Amino acid sequence: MEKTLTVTQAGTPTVALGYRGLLGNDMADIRAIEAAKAIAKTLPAGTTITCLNPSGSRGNFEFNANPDDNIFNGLSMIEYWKQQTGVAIQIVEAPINEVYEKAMQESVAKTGAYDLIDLNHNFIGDVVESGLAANMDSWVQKYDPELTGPMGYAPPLDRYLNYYGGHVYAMGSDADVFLMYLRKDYLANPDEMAAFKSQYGYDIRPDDIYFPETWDQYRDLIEFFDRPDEGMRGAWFWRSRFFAVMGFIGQFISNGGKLFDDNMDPAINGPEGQKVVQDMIDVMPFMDPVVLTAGYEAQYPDFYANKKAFTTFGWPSIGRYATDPSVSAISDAVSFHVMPGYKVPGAEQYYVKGSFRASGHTFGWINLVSNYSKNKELAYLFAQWRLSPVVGGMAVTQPGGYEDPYRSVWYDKVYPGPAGIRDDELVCLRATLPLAVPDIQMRGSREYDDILDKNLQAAFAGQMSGKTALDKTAADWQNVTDKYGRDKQIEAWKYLRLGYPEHIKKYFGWT
Amino acid sequence: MKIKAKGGILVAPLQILLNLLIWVPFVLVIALSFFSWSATMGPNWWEAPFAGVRNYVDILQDEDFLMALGRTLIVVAVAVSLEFGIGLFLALLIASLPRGKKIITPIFLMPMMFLPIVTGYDFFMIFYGHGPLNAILSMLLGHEVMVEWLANSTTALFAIILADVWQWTPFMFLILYSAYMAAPEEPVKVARTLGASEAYIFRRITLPALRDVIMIALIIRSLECFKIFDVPWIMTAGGPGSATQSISIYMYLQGFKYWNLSYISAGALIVLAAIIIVTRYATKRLLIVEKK
Repeated sequence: MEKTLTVTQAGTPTVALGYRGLLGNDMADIRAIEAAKAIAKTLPAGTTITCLNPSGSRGNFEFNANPDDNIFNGLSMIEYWKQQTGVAIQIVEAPINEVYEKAMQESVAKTGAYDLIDLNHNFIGDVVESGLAANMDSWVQKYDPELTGPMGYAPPLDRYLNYYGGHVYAMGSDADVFLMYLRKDYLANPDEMAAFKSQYGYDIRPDDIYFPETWDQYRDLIEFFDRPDEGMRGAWFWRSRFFAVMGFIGQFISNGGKLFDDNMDPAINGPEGQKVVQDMIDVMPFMDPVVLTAGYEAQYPDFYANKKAFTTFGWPSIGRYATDPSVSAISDAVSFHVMPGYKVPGAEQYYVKGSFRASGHTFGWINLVSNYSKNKELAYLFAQWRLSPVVGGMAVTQPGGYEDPYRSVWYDKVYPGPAGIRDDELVCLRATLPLAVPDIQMRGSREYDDILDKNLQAAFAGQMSGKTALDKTAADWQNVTDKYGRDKQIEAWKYLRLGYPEHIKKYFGWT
Repeated sequence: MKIKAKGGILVAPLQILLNLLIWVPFVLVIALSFFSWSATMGPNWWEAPFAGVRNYVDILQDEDFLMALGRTLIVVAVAVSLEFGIGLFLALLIASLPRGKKIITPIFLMPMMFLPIVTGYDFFMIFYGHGPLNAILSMLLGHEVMVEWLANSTTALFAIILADVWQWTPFMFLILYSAYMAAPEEPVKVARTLGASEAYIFRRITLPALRDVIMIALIIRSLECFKIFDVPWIMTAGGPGSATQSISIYMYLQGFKYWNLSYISAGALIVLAAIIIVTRYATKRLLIVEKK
């Protein structure tokens, strides 16, 4: 898809330009690679930067620049880096759910096996407190990776993705906020719309990205479009081990729930949490029972290849696959919508198009420099270079990777890579980013998340009530907090919640 | 003497290496269990605060630990009993065949050659909602059967036991078959000549002759089954909830997901002590026989 990019200065004609032409040379990538060349000259030949990455993410490294932006001299991104600096990039892959374990093993072993580590953002507390992640403040000051400002990370990512305890410890590479995907062929069908209105008393608005406004309206759609006789169920939502928690947090916060109070006592088992768990259970009759045991590896093809569900929600990559005719059976029949919210009494002034909304930001990869790397500054410079507005802007459109656009500038001027991101998905993603809520980005994150996940899944499988699941979670969370020291966790929580979206902070009084 | 001393010197380096590999980590685990250390704490483990026996007290009161232990014992009891019964039956059956033993025996042993993770994945697919089990049941019953076997705590545990029985019954079969074929035939011939029934011969001659081998097979298989990890991890990840969480999965989560290494060191030592006591008691008879 050739895209015409409009230069912002008045009077300048519209031309087809790549990012380099548009953004100029005084950019983070140029600063990084020039500095890297100078450092590399002092190092022995054969120096390598080793990156620990989740398997399946090579597409964000091994890509060629597009013709409009032929800045890699015809080479792939990492080949170009090596050509310019003499430093090779070695990618070590680990299964997606094992990268954290590998990183923490390194924090104990301190071998220096990895220079850069690509990790879920919620684990930043663990890797910082264990001493693994290097503080990037001085490098950020020196080289300016453009974390904020007009080329910076889209809010609120610019407030939490790269930080822990007020310092820069990471370079974020992924805006993994949840979008809602609906089958437009059903949603926009005039007969279906008339029948829906007749049954539920309100109109379907297929072209409105903020429809459905509420989780109740979403449930109506799911119930109405549950067609088991046609082989299509109303929805495909996660209810399995390791995935159950991912669907919960955003929905919980959108019901006015907060994970902890000011004293780090869990607030998850209050009426807000109980309502959300019950709502999650109530839609299960409209889903294929496999949601209890399957994860995203089944969710993706079931939605866009096998046409087994009217709707699903999840990462932006669902949209990319769903709109790719080479793999999707519904490439022309997908519409993108912002996650719904709840009508929360007292929060009306903070509603976003009809409800109090939040969109979970789970996974969300970040890049850390290992404190045990022999070439810390060089590793940092590679991260700054590859995640810069110019180079990163090409990386996020590549297939075979996990990175979704995280800088504001790309939403207006996203580079049309081989897979590309469809305009309507970009519009929806751009509208969703201000609603992004981070995962439990504190020390003990894995434990907090896993406890909640285990209990939620037991509730979904009918082993216990939603209330019991949340009460057990709250009790176990107290133990985790006490183990790490309540005062330290309070400090981390108070800092983390400053990264929440503005409307949520204002509602909870977190200013 | 000279030859013995030379031999000792030659194996000494390997002996030292093996001892280091076994004892150094073991001593470290014991030491860790008396501290209060997690990898996410920050300081090195030897700088962590001393905890005394608190880890031991806490884990013995940990419901999840005790449930995982109990659940694992149930799996061992059921799975090993089934493996023994089926294995013995197959051993006697194959032994009674006039021909074809050399062809059938390797086929029976094949499941044992699979990696446990492959077995786990295969059985996950069998019990998956859209898998062959539901498809076959749908065909037989004439209507769609859509049971999520792995999302129910009882059927999920049953599925895991079934996977273990499928994979490790050949082990029992191999040991029992070998022992049976090596057992002296004269007592059996004499008993038949004297008119004894087959059931009597099996109960009073065959089983006693195999008793020691059976004991060894049961101990080995029980110890292995107790460590079960791959199959339940792949099939259910310990779910639904923690309904199929074996003691190994519990320790893996505590040790390598939550990084409560001191805590789980205490747990590992408690489990080890329990296994030593049970195994010592079980092998007592064998040791008495050996002394005689």
